[in-house]
Amino acid sequence: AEVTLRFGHYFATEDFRGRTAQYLADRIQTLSKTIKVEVFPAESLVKGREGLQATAQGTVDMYSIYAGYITGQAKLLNIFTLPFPPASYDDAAQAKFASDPEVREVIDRSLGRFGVRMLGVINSSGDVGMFMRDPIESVADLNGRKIRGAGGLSDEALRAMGASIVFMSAAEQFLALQTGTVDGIATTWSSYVNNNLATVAPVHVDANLVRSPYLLIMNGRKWQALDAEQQKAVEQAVAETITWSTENFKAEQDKLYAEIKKLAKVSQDLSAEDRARIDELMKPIYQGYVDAHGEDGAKLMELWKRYAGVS
Amino acid sequence: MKVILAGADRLARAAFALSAVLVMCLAVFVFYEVVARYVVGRPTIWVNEVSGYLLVATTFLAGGWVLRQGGHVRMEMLEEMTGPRGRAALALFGNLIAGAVGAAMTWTGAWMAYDSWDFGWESPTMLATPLWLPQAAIPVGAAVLTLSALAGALDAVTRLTGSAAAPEVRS
Amino acid sequence: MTGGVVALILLLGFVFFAVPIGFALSGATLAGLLAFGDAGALTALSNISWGATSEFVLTAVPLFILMSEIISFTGIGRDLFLAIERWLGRLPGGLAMTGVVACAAFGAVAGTGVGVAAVIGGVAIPEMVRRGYTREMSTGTVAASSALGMIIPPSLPLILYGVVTETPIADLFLAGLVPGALIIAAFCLYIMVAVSLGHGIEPDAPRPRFTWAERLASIRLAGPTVVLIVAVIGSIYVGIATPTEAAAVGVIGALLLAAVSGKLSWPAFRTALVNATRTSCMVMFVLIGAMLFGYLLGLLRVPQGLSDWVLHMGLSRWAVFALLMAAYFVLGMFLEVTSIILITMPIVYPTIIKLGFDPVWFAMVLIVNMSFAVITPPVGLCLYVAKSCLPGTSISQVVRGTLPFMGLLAAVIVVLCLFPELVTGFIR
Ligand code: NA
Ligand code: NA
Repeated sequence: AEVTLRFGHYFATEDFRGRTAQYLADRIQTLSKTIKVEVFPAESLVKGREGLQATAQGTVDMYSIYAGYITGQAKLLNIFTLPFPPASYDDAAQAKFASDPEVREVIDRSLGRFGVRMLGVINSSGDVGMFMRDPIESVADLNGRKIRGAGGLSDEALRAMGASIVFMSAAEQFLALQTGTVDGIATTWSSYVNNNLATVAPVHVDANLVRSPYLLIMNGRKWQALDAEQQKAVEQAVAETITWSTENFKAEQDKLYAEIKKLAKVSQDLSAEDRARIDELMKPIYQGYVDAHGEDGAKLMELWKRYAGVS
Repeated sequence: MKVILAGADRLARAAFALSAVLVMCLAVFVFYEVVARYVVGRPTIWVNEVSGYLLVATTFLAGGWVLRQGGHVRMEMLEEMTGPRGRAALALFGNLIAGAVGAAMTWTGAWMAYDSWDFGWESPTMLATPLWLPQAAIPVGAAVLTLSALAGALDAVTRLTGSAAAPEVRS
Repeated sequence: MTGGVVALILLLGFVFFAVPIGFALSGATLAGLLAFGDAGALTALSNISWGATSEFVLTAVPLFILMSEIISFTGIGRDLFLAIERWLGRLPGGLAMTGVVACAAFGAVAGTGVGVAAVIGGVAIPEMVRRGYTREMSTGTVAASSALGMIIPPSLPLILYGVVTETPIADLFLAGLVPGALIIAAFCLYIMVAVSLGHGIEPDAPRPRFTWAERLASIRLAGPTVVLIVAVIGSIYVGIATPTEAAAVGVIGALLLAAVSGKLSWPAFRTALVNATRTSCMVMFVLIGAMLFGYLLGLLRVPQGLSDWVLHMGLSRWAVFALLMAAYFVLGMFLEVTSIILITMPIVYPTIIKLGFDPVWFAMVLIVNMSFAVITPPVGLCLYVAKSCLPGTSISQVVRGTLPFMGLLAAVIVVLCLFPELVTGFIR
């Protein structure tokens, strides 16, 4: 039967991740002549924060949701907000980790309880950098600074380093950095470049605070209502989109990184001592994740370490 | 009938009073955040989030009494052109629409809050608020709104059918 | 698209038959979801309401309203007005100009037009009529000038524009000074010429004289307002508070001023709080209704259809722009400013950017256009406030009074279009 899928996401249409969403929609419509996909970019139908509940209840059929937004609803997903992952945990590694059958099984189970089906991970936040108004000597300097955080466990990491987390809307961040309401911000490269934040936060602390995937989720009833052929088409399209996104995302990130190097006045690498200090501070947070989630938590952590390349 | 009407109004009024208190809390909390961040240098983890929840509560809890007081802005052109019976008919219509919206919001809002409670959903912040708590303000407030709309509709019916002596309540 | 048209007609019907605007919007959405949606669609009612309301930035709505209510009983609006009069009172039309400038000065504290109309109108309008100005001139001047409350920073509509389009609010606020100054200049010039020619005032109305000593003393009278302006705007630009939080700084500041001046009493405070709760509840229900109706229109693909249609008509960008301005004027007649911005931005903003307009400049043209919205019937909040400041005045008298000022607002829009660098150059 003819079906219309309403697909919401968070990004601007011209953003790479917005283009990925459109790519998926196009693929689904090509592979199945009986499915029509209506894309609603830039939170125009449902807000990102409400994405899971809205999908669960059928306010929207599909959503590409930032994992960090739903860690209060599916706490196991905090595996995707582990702070300061090693450099070897790049987007490709994350994509592989997220599509490991064992990981998929845990995610499916925790989202399935809500009547939501996870179709796959089609996008990543990329690196989340820290951008400051003033240069810092070392990570010890973050002590006492006010930072707009990125959510999830990464907030706890910044607090462990002595920083204070300030909550504010995206619309207020530019002014807050300009006037000094906050000292810095943790945000994605694309947001830093697209929102022109370099003029107000010219110092780039070159460490990845967190990397989170965007999960493509679908209302369970809607999924059941598709016939076998349609379901196959959707799954096929998701697989193709993941391949397309993985192939192109690296180039996209490299472009953004070059842009940041150009825009930011200071780009500070972490020293070896800094890195060691951070790893020491993160231990209890990682351990806390395992302790909070028992068997599943331990399993996910072990897999994560393998894919992330942690010894 | 009168007892029920009076009861609905008392309830709506109490909800409104609570809402007013929450508005003042909102001002105090947000100001406190400014002080905590700028003067003390230690921003809170709760003001930003709790303020959003308070806004939901204050809006929905006040809705019923504001409706009874005729405080929701509307286009009055037709009211000014027509007589008392016409105004009563318009009031009946307006209250029925408001009542339908209130009932639908009570129903869907209750499901939303129930789901959040059932699934144990929390906000993805350090505060980790159980979401059903602030969300419950929507069905509770919407239920009060529905009762107020019914009371308003009954008032209007009395004015339409009954004696000319029945006073116009809507301001 | 057909569904969209049906929903729109239903909405207009509800509005016409005096259904409160908030419920007309959500009622039309409810009907639309039942008619065109599938099983899950109704859940949007609570889902969207929750997502729309539990938003920190929107706490500025009750807080700015509460601040205006508190200021109303402190009497600092009257003091401000009297202080400005000592400088402008000598000029032809001096008292009316005083009204304009007082609206602008208070606009630097308030975030909405209605807030300004309530505080300044209560003082300025009766005073002007007492001194020989016509009802039309008195109410029209204040009603039209009160829009300065949302043009001069801080501005609630501009905060919302910034939130929805992710335009830096700092730029929007700074840019607001440009149309603000243009409007003050245009209004004052018009008043001076009109009154000199004998319009809007009795022929032999007396003009007061003030000594320089009195003028200097006026600084003390204006003091409390200046303190508040510094507290609200200063706290934003010094980095103490975000624009949203500045509203709370204003509330506490206004309370302190009331306490210092001895005007703070329990009954007065209670009335202010009750009024603020009522008004903010009303605005929020309109806002929720607007979000819901926006969801329905989105579901029915109206925004996409509309913007595709506009872009494919092959009109020049300025033709599209002119159409948009006309559409905003019409919307402004029926809807309230914040909801117009929230409803339309998702549709209009991408189109505007595609056509190559500057987002900050567009916000300025839009906000001047929205000045019509607060003074055009049937939904013109400042119109009703101005009317209520002078018992026995009819709406049509106020509307007649605002007509020349509406012409001037249109002229300001034209100036902004001819010289966009007035805005873009100013914020760079
Ligand atoms: Na203002
Ligand atoms: Na209007």
